[in-house]
Amino acid sequence: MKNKKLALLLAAAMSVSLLAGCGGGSDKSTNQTQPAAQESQTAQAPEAAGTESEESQETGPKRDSVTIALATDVSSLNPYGQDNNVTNQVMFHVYEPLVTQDRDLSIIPCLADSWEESEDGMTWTFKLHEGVKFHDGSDFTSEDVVASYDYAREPGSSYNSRFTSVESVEAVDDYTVVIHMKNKYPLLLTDLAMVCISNKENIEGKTPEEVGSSVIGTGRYKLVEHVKEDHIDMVANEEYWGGAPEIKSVRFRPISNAATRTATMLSGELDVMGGVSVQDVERLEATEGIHVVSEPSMEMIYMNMEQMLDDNPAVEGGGNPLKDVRVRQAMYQAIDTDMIINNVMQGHAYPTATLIRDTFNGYSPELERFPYDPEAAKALLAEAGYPDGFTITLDAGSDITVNSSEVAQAVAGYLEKVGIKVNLNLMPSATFLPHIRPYEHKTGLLISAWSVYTGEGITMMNQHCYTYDQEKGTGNANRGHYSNPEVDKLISEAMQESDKERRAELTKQIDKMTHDDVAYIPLYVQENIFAVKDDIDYTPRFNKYIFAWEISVK
Amino acid sequence: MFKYIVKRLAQTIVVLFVVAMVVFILTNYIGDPAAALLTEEATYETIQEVREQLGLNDPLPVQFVNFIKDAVRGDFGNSYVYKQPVLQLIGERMPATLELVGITALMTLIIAIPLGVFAGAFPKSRISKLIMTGSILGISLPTFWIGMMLIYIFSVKYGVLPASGRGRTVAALGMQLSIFAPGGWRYLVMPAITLSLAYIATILRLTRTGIRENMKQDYIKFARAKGVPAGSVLFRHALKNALIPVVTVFGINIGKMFAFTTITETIFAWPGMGKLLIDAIYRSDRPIIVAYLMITSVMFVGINFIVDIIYTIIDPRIELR
Repeated sequence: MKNKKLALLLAAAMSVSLLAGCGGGSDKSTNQTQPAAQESQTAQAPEAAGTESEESQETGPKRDSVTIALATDVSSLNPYGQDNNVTNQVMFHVYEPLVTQDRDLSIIPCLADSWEESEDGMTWTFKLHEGVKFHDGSDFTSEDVVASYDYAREPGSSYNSRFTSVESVEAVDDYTVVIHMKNKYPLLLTDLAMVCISNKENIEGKTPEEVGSSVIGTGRYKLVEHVKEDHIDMVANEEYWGGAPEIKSVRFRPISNAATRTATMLSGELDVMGGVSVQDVERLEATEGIHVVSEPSMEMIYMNMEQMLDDNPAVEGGGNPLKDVRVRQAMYQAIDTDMIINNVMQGHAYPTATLIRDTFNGYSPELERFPYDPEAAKALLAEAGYPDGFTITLDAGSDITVNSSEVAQAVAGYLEKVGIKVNLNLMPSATFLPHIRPYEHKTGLLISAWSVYTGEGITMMNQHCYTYDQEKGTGNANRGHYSNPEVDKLISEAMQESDKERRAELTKQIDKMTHDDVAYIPLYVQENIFAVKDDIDYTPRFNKYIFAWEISVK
Repeated sequence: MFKYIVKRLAQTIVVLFVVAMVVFILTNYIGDPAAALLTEEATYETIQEVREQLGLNDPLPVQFVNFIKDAVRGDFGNSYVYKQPVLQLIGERMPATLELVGITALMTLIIAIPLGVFAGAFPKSRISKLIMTGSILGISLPTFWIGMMLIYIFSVKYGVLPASGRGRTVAALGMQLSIFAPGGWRYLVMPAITLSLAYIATILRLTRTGIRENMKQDYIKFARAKGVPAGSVLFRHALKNALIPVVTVFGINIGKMFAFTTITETIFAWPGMGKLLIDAIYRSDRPIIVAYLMITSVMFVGINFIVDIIYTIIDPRIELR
């Protein structure tokens, strides 16, 4: 009898604990009243006094707050800390550059009203917008520009490389800034568009940590709080010089796990998210209240082949078959990129014959891919003296782009079919990126991705196809050590060319020559996929930055 | 007792030294922090400048000696990526992890021990069989799968719990905690369940085995013959004796929960230390990795110390040596 009582007691304890564990608000109504009832308590807690976006989103006729997902958190709120997409996207809400990029990446005025490049290209003069104020009420003047640029171009700074052609920055009067150049560089504005302008007092002589803890810009939004790895809250700057934005409060939520990000979107906690995995697209589209927007990204996926060394480190038994253009073309024609796009990428990618995006200045629409033809590939290999192929190591990053491991496996499979035996060497990006640096000479064949946000094809060609030189610092993405003196000459000429049309002309010539040389193998252009709630309007930018002021509530 | 503490401290120092050395050597092979700091088109010159600034161009033994020198003074260096002192970074994230681990440990105890006692005392009962089957699931299902399923059911399908994040926090017990914030528990429930299931299953099975063994012992028969009430036999005699291995394993488990909440924190975007470690590994941020693992080593040693003391309370025959 006693045993039975005890059993009952334990069973009851168990069921209670189970309920406590899994219930979690099976009664929905109690859950929703809870936050409202406790609102007053919240106000007393100073740390919790941030935006009330979560609650306000669910009610009200027309909301003015949005929650935007980030793939990672920013490492700090220092606008000169790390030159990467996430940091730039977030910082541009608070800070502004002198000039900025429109949705299609063309340069438009921002803090500078107008600018002029001198005849010889050695000085640039900027006229600043007058009457702009920082969030702390101080005036924005040319001194702030000089201080910001000097801060950003210090040696070792992540933004240093954007100023390689700049000799000095000078404030002529309160609203005129002159940049003196070391050499002519017509694309200067595409770099300046990525550099935020801070208040002079806020950065001069300050450590990066101090700069990151005092976030004062001229931008449309003011920082409310940054809780690391959880959220960044901002509110509209009502005194913004260009008119206050429509969306009054913004919350950025860093969610690095793609599946969690999708689930959070599905549960309705996010309004806009980028970086949707191709396998999640259908699920999101099928969900009521969410739609998917996509367009070709700037991300070009391609292969590099070692063309300088006589002994390719990737080839088994030494030698370097890849120096022979016929071998390179054979590899090109051995890979069926259409199948990779349709199957591995599930249609969320686009074919391309060049590294230059079709929206960029200098794109050649007439350039065509070498067709997929394994028989022709075998014939080319035989002609080059490799009828039985060779064995080579293919390096690829396992996490650098969408499904990059699977793509690398597919490429390896296609190469095997024409007799080239492939050892696939997949690495996480932390090891992959140092491994493939041109001066390391560790890789001989690789798949990688590159994106250029200048809107200029010549930038891509300059980084990828100019002869690599460690001393001069040229061709830093030329991991295959492709070298053609004529191409170099044309690239130098185009980089010095201020006339856009003429630059396009030269870029097209370069594109054709590198194509004929099979300098690299273009694989595909990745798609940018965004999920957006139905009650807001959002058109993605080419560079995939999500800006709150470009979101509108329907 | 004094001798025991000194011995433990000496052991700790050796452990820390070895951990630091191993991590130092290993992180050397997981990539170049300069790659995480610079854009891909950085020139050789810029890369070398950054490496020089971070002190990465010195030979590894020199770097290690420099690190130890600073560490002895309590300075574990600055993170390469965040540029902040690593102890401060870890300290900022610790409350979130402590909170998650605390709740998980509590849930584990409250659920596992009663269920284990029940299953041990009434092994033939149908409920016991159900508990045991459930525990096998708890042990064998991978954490990330449980986490994703919970998110799918409670957030996506029924929309009753937030899918990720930590929500608001309030100052309590000297740190920022969400459990005391209004609705804060809603953010905690799923990560805590995800993290605790495997531990509940382990502790439950251990308790059950201990109870079953002890129930067959002569002293239990005597106690019953003497007329001691069944509840008292079970809890005051059998459970107390079954508890020694449970305490050991539970201690180790708390250490594990603390050090390796990484998966759970990643799935639920919980802003704790585990996520910091994962990110640091991806970016080869050595100062964080070294300091993190040293801190968790101290935790393990500390927990074992507490476990030893609890032994002496449960079983006065045990002496600390």
